[in-house]
Amino acid sequence: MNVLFAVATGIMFGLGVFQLLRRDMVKSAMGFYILFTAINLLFFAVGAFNGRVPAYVQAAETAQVSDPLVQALILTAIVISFGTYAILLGLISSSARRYRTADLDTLDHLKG
Amino acid sequence: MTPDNPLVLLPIFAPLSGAALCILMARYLRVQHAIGLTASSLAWVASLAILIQNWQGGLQVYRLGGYQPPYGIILAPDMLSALFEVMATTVVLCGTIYILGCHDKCVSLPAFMPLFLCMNAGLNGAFYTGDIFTLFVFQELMIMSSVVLVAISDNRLGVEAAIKYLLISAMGSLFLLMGIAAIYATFGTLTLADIARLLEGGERPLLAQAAAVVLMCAFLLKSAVFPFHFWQPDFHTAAPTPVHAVLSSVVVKVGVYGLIRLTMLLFIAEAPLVRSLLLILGVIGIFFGGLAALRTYDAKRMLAYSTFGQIGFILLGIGWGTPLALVGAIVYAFNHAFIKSSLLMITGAIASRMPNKSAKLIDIGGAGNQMRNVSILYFIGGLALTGIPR
Repeated sequence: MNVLFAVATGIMFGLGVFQLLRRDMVKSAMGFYILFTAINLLFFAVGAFNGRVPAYVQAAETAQVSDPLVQALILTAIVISFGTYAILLGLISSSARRYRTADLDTLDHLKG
Repeated sequence: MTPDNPLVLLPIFAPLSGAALCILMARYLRVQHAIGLTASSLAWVASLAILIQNWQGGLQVYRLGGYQPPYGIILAPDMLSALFEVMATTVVLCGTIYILGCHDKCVSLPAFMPLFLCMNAGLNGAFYTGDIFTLFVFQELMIMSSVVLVAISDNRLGVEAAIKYLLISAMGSLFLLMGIAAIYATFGTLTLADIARLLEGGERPLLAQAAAVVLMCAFLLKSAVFPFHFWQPDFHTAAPTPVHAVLSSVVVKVGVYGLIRLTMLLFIAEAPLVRSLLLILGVIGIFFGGLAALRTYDAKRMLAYSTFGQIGFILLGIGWGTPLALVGAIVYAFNHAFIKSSLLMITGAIASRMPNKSAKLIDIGGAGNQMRNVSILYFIGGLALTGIPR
């Protein structure tokens, strides 16, 4: 199971980096989101397999509970990534409306 | 166990609740300004009080929700974070006062004050927090509000600069999150003091070095050091003046603070590696920033490049690593924050009185003839920046 998680994280990381470097801004925003998900998956794999029983439910005292901290952290990270993604898409849409393009190569007003 | 000190909450929650109130009062600009000024002054007074308490009684602690440190969130300002916090709240208070008299168009938007207060809260939280994941959360709050503040700026290039910064700083946040995952995988805790205790004794796990490198990348990106610097002049120049003053003087110091924590508290064994790299990057930053500032034709952009050089001086102090050098770095960071923010606010004030509202050197030529007092102030600031009366 750990190997599966490692391979999945690696593939998603590669996909995310590839998409992030595309010329189209919408595609690079998607690449950013895939990257964030890859790192959330990495985080999840860190703490997922220590326990067999969910934490904070009626379970036998001897049962090994899974780590609740990691799940709380990932939930926070997912919310943050949603927020960043939303702001990024908003900025891209307002820039596309102003300059009539989403191509990063033609957006060179900051040069010089 | 030290008792909880509820005063620690004030610098974070006064701006946050102020922001919520400002959104409710979106129609009344004067009320918004009054709320913003009150929240910033409260945060300033509280940060000063915490610095004094730190001086007298050592570490101040607040455990959020009453949970104990390895699981709960802890706010633990020690002397270093209390000092940086006083610096941050002072600059933000001056920025808020500048906003009251500022005539830029974006400042009168109803969203401006809440975003500014949110940035303030994120900044204060990033300095006060005692665990590294909360540092990430507060840093994200700061980044997002500053991105939107720059995107609504009067400068036409604001949106483009904001996209550039958001993509790059999101990469920085990803690096930080990856470092947090590596730390949690090896040590099973995220509290800074706990990690330091675990790193002190016992063998070095392999992931610890990777975590040190990834965290260093994240903090270097945050403070715009040489290979990661290219977003900084564009983003800072496009920002509205009060936001530019805060960004250029204290927001880059979050990265500096992180680097000090990294070399002095967390990764003591990896510190020689990190320090030697910081020395090289600092020297490159000093030369590159100074030379690049020479060939700009915009007063705000020139000051942004000069920030880049001065962060190099601070990194040199951290990289040297002796107690005296560190004290020098912290004092320099303190001075740089006040001087740079005051110079930027003077530049913004001059530019807003000029006919075409720009800080290009060709547009503000001859401004000193009309504003004699302002030019004297600017001269004093320039002398302070070079460190003339030593």
